Amino acid sequence: MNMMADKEHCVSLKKTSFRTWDGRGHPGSHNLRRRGRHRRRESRTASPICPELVGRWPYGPCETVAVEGNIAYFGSGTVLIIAECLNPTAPAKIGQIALPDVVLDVAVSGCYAYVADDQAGCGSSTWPIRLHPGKPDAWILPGVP
Amino acid sequence: MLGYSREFHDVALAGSYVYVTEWGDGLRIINVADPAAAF
Repeated sequence: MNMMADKEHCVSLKKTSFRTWDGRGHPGSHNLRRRGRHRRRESRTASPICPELVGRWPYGPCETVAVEGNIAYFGSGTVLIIAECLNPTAPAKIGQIALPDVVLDVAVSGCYAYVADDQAGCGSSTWPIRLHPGKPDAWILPGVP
Repeated sequence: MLGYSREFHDVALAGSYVYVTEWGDGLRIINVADPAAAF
């Protein structure tokens, strides 16, 4: 459904941007309107100008994302979601870690994920999380009960 | 071009896919196998 909406939106963008492409003459003139209809038809039949939306995780607030191989790490509110994206059309959650506040940033290096959270607007804290890919329950956030 | 009135907060690239965070709307995965077609 959202993909359809996105494509429709792109089509409407094409319609809108047409008017800015052609700055000649008065936009209300008969000839320009005829030319406009013709070019608009061309733009609909040309190859798509929109990148293709293939998958989504529809739960926010989502501030940050990092991808390592086929694994995506992203914040969803106060939770770091770890999802396998072997099939990008259907990302599969393989783990999650709750943090004290909204996840602001994440970086992955080796077997660690470094996650910064908001700390209720009073600066941020960075949490190193040791990753054990095969054992989602074994992911540990030090210092958080 | 991916044009929206929405807010994009972060982006990551892996292979031919771009991962974009959209705050309240979550995460989007976009195929950019043909980057020239994106502009």
